[in-house]
Amino acid sequence: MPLGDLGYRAWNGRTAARGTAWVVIAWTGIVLAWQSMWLRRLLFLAWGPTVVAGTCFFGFERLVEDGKLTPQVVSSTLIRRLPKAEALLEAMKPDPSQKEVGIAKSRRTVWAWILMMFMRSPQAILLVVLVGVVAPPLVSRDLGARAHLVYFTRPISRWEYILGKSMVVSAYVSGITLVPALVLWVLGVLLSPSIAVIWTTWDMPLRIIAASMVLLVPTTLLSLALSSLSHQPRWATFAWFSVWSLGWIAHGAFIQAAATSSFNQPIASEQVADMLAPLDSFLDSQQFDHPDMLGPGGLGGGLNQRTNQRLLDAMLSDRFAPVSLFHTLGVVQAWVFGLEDDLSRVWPSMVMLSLVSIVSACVLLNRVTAPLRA
Amino acid sequence: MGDPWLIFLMLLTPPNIVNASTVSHPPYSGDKQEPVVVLEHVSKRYGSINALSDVSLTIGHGITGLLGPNGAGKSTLVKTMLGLLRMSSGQGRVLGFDCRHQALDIRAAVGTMPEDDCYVPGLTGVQMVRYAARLSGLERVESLRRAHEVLDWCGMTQERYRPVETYSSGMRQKLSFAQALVHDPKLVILDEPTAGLDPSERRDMLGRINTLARIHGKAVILSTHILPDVQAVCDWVVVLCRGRVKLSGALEDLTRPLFPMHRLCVRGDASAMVQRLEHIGIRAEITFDGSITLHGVDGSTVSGVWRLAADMGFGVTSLEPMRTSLETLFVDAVREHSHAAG
Repeated sequence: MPLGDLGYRAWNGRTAARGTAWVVIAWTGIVLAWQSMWLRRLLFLAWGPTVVAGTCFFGFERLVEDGKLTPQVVSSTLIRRLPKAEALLEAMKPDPSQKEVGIAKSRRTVWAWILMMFMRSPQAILLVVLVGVVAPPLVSRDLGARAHLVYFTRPISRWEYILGKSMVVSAYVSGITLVPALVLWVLGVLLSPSIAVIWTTWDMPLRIIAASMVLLVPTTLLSLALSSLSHQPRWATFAWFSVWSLGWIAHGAFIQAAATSSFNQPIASEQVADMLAPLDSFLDSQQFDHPDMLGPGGLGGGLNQRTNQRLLDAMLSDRFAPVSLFHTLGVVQAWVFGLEDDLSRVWPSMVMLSLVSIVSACVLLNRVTAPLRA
Repeated sequence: MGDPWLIFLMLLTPPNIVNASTVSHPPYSGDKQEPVVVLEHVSKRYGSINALSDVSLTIGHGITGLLGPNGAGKSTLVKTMLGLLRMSSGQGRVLGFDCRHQALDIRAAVGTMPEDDCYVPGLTGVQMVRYAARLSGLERVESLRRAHEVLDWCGMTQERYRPVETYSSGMRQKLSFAQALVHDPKLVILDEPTAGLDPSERRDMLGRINTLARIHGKAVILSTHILPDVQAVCDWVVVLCRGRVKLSGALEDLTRPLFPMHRLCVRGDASAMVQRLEHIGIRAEITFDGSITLHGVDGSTVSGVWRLAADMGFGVTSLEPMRTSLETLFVDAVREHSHAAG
């Protein structure tokens, strides 16, 4: 018997308000997940792309500050990738008053583009790996160790349990998407020539939060739903990676098949021409001091040639995006960042993400207490 | 005019506040005379299977043994009381809270020790108990203090710092017991608390259960297959079979035989004693172990037995009322049901 044992003692202390147990579940889950060395390494690795994105911010702001944001630079580097080239071209107009407006607009576009690319290419892929490490054991291990009896024999509802577990995944995913993206925005503000940039990019943090939510909600719910389907975390991990890779493969296969048939049909070229028409007319209306700087065929022609393939790909990609979670997320994120205005191309992806979230939430709600009903 | 607003406000108000049953039934006062569990015509169906059929039950303070063969509905009954399962019909109150609408209040006031091993992988023993305390609403520092306190009482020493996965089944039982008590519940539901314990630990565990009920005034429901445990500590017994209550009442009353019987052991010729007893009108018979069973002896006639033994010069080694064993009661109750079903 321990020296300090005083026998059973009654306890009549204060208890926390009902409905706060999810904080305890979340915190314990975060601490337990943190014990994984692989997770810590992955988090460290996931901050690497932030440096690259930060360098892009720095490069752009240097171009602006040194007055080197010229049509040549734009046409040779940025415009090949940027979806909204009009704003950049505004920045190169000869009228100084319009130029300021153009720089402000182009900053928003370039920042949004860098942030979206940051969240898409490195972070969304790292997110898949990170969630694949964190989420599968969260519910399945509880089911395997019958920990649901620990939770549900206490004043905890299913919602609180799911919220707590979701917060574990969300915390780690935010750590590699939301937090570094916000850091990048702050970095951009600090690197820009004037602090007034805050006023012209005030919506950027909100867009970052919204884009992170687009990533967080469906992925968290889906990963937990898969975790709840098995008592073995390894099956949940397998299912998680299968969903992503199969979606990716299916998307690639559809694109390939569609591209093969589309290139032989004149209608595809007409569609591309329709998509490019607003940009071409805009370019035609601009009066540049040195049109020869724009390269052979002019900026419009060069742009047209270079972007033909890309826009066709984009058009096809958007159409098939709902089959792949990765591409679906990309389409909605582009809309959130203001890089995609055409809602008709976004809504199928939105519907798909909503469906994934709702179905996953229903599965999760049903599964977490299923052993108690048996 | 006010009706739409009233409806709107009622919709906004949490259901446990607008619930009429809450208003008409005040929460449990802690009065020892007040029953802790009241179930009225409770039924629970899983599809076409009746897990509980018209169960009406009142459980008071003290220790109540919940007995029944496998599949009798004990776990379903416990889950229904905790509000984990929605009853198909009937109503129930635990500690004054309605089972249907105040399940979270019930679970906050009840400590449950499930039969199965249940733990959160990756935590040590003390972290596990502390986690349980935190989930019950205890604050950060207080939960740790309380976890150590309860673990001390449960006889968990340094092993509390080991990961739960490495525990033996006996240690897990003690850990589970500590988790059930960490928030100092008014009602403790223990499912097979002595399973997997060695004889010494079993005795300690029964001692702790006794202490909780007798000294600290907790109501305890003990669901078990081990009848000697029930006989050792329980005040009340409920026998369930195929979802129906077959037997329910105070252990003292249930084990009392229909007609008073005593068991007499004497130093001397038992057959001569039997002859003299029958001579004075007491029906007696010698049992296989050499003792004498006296039928129809009550308090007034027992002195005559003493006097007779003294007259005959026999030493009386024991004279005690005979009781029906719990095992006999249990087997009879279950068999009766099986025959009825057959």
